[in-house]
Order: sequence, then C-alpha cells, then structure tokens
Amino acid sequence: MPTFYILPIFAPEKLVTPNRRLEKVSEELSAAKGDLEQKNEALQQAGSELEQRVKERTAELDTANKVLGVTQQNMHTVIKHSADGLLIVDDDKNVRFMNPAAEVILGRRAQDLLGEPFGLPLTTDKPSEVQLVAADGSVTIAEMQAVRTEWENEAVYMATIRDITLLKKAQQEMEAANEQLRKFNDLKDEFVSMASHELRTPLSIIIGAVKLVLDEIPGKILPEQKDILDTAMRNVKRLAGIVDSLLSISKIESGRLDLQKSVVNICQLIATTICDYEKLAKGKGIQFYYEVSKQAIRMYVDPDKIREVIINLVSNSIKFTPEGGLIKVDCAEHDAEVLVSVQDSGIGIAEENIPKLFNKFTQFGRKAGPGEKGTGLGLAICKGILGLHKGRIWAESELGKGTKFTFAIPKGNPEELLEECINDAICESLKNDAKTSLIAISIANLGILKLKLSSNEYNSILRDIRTVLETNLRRGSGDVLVPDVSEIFIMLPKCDKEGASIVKARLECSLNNCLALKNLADKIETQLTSVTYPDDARTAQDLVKKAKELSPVSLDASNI
Amino acid sequence: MDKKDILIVDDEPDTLLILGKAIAARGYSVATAKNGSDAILLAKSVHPNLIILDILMPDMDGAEVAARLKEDSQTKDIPVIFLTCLITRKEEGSGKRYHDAADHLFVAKPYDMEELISHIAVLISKPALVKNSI
Repeated sequence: MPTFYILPIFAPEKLVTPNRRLEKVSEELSAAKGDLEQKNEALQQAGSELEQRVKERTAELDTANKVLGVTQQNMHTVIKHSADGLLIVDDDKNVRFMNPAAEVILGRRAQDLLGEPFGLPLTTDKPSEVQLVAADGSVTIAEMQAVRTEWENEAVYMATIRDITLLKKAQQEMEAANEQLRKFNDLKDEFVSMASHELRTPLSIIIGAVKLVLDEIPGKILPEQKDILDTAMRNVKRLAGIVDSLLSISKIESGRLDLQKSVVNICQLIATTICDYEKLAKGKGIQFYYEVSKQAIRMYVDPDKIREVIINLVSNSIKFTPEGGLIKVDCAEHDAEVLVSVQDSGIGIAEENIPKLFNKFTQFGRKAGPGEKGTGLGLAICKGILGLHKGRIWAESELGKGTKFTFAIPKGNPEELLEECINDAICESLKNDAKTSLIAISIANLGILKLKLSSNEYNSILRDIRTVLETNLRRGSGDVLVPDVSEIFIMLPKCDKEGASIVKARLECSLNNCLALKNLADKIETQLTSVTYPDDARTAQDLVKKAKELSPVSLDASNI
Repeated sequence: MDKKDILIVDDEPDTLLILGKAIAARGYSVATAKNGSDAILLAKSVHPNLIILDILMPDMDGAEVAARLKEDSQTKDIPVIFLTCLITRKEEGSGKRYHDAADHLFVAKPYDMEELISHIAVLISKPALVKNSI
C-alpha cells in the first residue's frame, strides 16, 4: 500500500489571503495617499492664503507708513511754520528744541540756544507775560505758557510763546481812551450841574422881578408896558423850560435820574394831567377826547415823570394839529402792559423822519407858531423816561393825516411789584439811615362774600376798603399794594416801629368804621399787623413772611 | 428888633430883593439875611413864623443852617422852606435828610411865585408845634 502525502499547496484561500492582504494594504495606501493629497491641497490653500494676507498686511503697512510720513511731514510743517513759538525745555532748564517762530520772537537762533539754559520763567497754570529787549533796544512783549510733557523719554516743559506787543499797545490805547471818556463824562456832569445852578438863579430873579412889575406892586403900569413885560416873561419862562430839558436829558443819559416810584392809578393820572390841555386845545378849536377806563389801572411808576411824558405828547399834538382837528387820548391794559396813546389829526410826520424822532435835538420842518419852538429834546426825554420804567415808546404817522404816539409800560406781576416796592423803601432807608415799615392787612372771608354778592357790590366793597386806606395815609407817606385781594400791604417808608403802630391803629379804626357802615363788620374779618425794617427782618421777602406769620388769614365758613 | 413874619436867607442879594418885595406885597413882614450865621442871629431876634432858606450858599449851606436852628430851643420849631436848584450834587447830598419832612418843604428855582405864596400861607397858619407827620 502506497501512502499519499498531500503536499501543502496554498489553498485558494491562502492564496487569496496574501492577495487580500495586498489589496488591503493597497487600499490603505490609496486612502493614505488621498488623505495626503487632501492635506497637501489644504496646505497649499493655507499657504496661498497666508501669502495673500502677508501681501495685504504689507500693503497696509505701506499705506500706514506713507500716512505716517505725511503726518510727520505735516507735523513738521505745523511746527516749522507756526506763528506761535514752540520750545522744549528740560528740567535742568536747558533748551532742547526751538521752532523758527520762537527764534523770531526771542531774537535768537535755535542752534545758539540748544543745550543752553532758558532764562525766562515757565508757568503752567496760567500764561505769563515777558518783556524782551532786543539788541537795538526795541521791546517785544510776549505771552508764554508751558505744559508738562515727554520728550525722548524725559519729562520736559513744552512752552508756547506769542508776540503780543501790538495787542498790548492796542489795549493800552483803549484804556487811555476810556479814561479820557470817563473824565469827560464827569466834567460834563459837573458842568451841567453848575450851569444849571448858575442859569437857574438869575432866571428865578428875572421871573420874580418881572412878575412884581406885572402885578403892579411898585405901581401901576401902562398897557403897552404890560405887553412888553409879558413878552419878557414868556421868553424867560421858555428859557427856564429849556434849561430844565437840558438838565433832564443830561441826567437821563448819565444814568443819574432817580425815579421816585409810587403806586399810581394811571387812568386818573392821565385825566388830571390833560385837564389844562383840554382848555388849550379848545382854545385852538381842537376837539379833545379822553376815554377814561372805568376800572383803575394801578402801576408802580414815577408819577411826575409819566406826567411829563403825557404833557410832552399832548402839547406836541396841540402844536401840530390845525384848527378843527381832533386829539384822542387812550389808556388800556393789553397783555402784560399798559398802553397809553395820544393820537391827533395833525400835519403828520414824513416816513423817513420817523426813525429819527426820538433823537436829541431833531426837529422837522416845523411851521410852528411863534414861541412854540422847542429844544428838540422832548421826545428824547420821553424815551429816556420810558426806558427807566422798562417800557417803550413809538410813533405811527402819515403826512397830512395825523400822528399817533403810543407808550407801553410793563405792568409787572403783583408779587414782584410788592417786592420791588419794599426793596426800594429799604434802599432809601439805608441811604438815610432810617427805618421802614410794612403793614399787612389780611381780609378773611372775602371768597365767601364774593359768592354771596353781585360782582358790582363785591367790587365796590373792595374799592371802598382801598379808598379808606388810601385816604387815611398822608400824601406821600405810604403806598397801598394789593398783590392779592385778601392781602393788602401798606408800605410806610421812613417809618419806625412806633410810627407804624400808630398808623396801624388809625387804619384799623377807619377800616372797622367803614365795614360797620356797610353792615359787614360781622361778615368780614380784618387783621392788621406791622413789621419794621431792620428790627423784624432785613429783606423784602422776610418782611412779607414775618407779616404773614403774625396775621394768619382764616377762611372760616362759620363766620357768615 | 421887631417880630417879623418871614425870614429869607440867600447869598444872592437880588433874590433877597425880589423875593422880599413879592412876599411883602402879600402882607407879610419880612427880614433878610445874606448868610447862615446872620440868619441864625436874626432868627433869634425877630422870631419869624417861617424861614425861607437857600440851600447852595458858601460857608454854611442851607441844610446846616436848618440843623443849627433845630438845635436851638428858641428856633427849633420854626418851619423852613428850602429853595433849591434841585439838581446840584451838593444839594442832593446835604438836603436829603430833610426831604419830605412835614415842616421842611423843597421848592425848586425858578419857583412859581403863586405856589410859593400858597406854601407860605399854609405853613404860617399852622401852629409851630407840628412834629412827625403820620
């Protein structure tokens, strides 16, 4: 029997296995290759991106450098051409840098001063002035100011220096001119004062003397003598008027006109002022109209000065209105102002002349009658007076038709007026070393009364209360102020505590009598208190506060 | 000396003349003084019911004269009318103390004679003992 040996031959599997292994490796190799390729690509991509970025950055850097270069150039230009001098001085006081302007101002070259001590003071809080005397003796005045900064890693002073020689000179000239102006103004005031005294004394005497003869005191005079003396008198009075006008305008202009303000019913002021002028107008055949507002319009003004304004306007109208014409005076409240107008049907004013109306010494084409020529100061004085009252005045006119002058004065609110009035009184007291008192009258239950009565009756009660108070104050010794209907203040300038309590007692008495007569004694309660400056308080507000403290207004419905 | 109704004090002789004549023509007896010291002496000897005082005078001004008169018991109650140019600074300074007091009236030059006369009439008919007006 033969034995068969089976030779181990690679079975297909085993034959496949190396193939498979090879395939596998080959696959793996492929994959790795692919991977590598991918990675290569990515690397290349990154590489080119980087290149791009580097390119961009380089470009940016280039631009920046260029800009820097321009900036540096600009900086150089700025420093080199600056009109102000620039210096760098280190802490050892040596000059480290100087620009050309500094060279010019200091009159030294940079190369000479570099490293040398800087001899001028350096201030950092505010500029200092230095005087530089050049070799030829000419003086330059310069202004210097320094700041602390860094220079080449050191702390240094950077100073600016500016030539102000011309500026200084101009300043000095202006000062001198101002001083001259001041002296001149003083001189003018002094002159006007003295002149007025020197002019008024002889005027006084002449008027007195002529009057004596006209009154026939030394003996009878013939009609012809009378005529002649009348002429003399008229003209001397005219002269006196001119002197007054000159003085007025001078005072107004130099701000030395003091207003003597008091509480005034402006409607009544107008009425009494124009009384005489009505007759004058009638005499010239001119119709006069004045609409009196039924209600009183009270203002805190200087009555004499306002009267002067009205007289001025009215007499002008009479002057320039022909026979048969008319003049209308009006007074009304509008917004927060009181407006007064004087309108005439006179010869009017040309449009181009209207802006010049209120200038001094201007008079236009006047065919005024004899003895009617004025100084040309009237309207300027009016304007000045209105200005002092914080008001204004203006004119509207048409040639041949007529003219209308209007002036407006702000009414001011009652609280402000009260304070102003009290402050004025306090000022006066200070000037004269006197006291001043305030009486506060609080009236309770007016509100309730108002509801129970008709408005006419209510108003008439208020009016009567006011009248009682006003009549019981001697003329010029007190002002009645009514900021609020239930609160009346009586201003008593130059009145001390004792005086005030006397007045208070008197007013209380009269008020109670008045109310009793009207059968209101049990319906209206009045309480009066008085406070004095400086005893009780030192300011207007405090005085008012104190007065109110002492008399609380009680609105008690159970009283009625 | 006899008692006189009115004493006029002014440094200007013409004013004394004219004013004196005008007031005398109204029936008052008049004495005149050219300066402050004469005025004070005269006031004590003629005992006027009223003094008309010019403010602006050399040496003693009107305000000072009035002050001195006030100090003297013989003359302190005599009412005074001040004549003034009303604007000179000196007057403003010295006259201010007397502004508005009842028996110290300010009349401006050139004065209205009628107005002056009426002021005189009022002041003279008042009894001399008028004090603070309230």
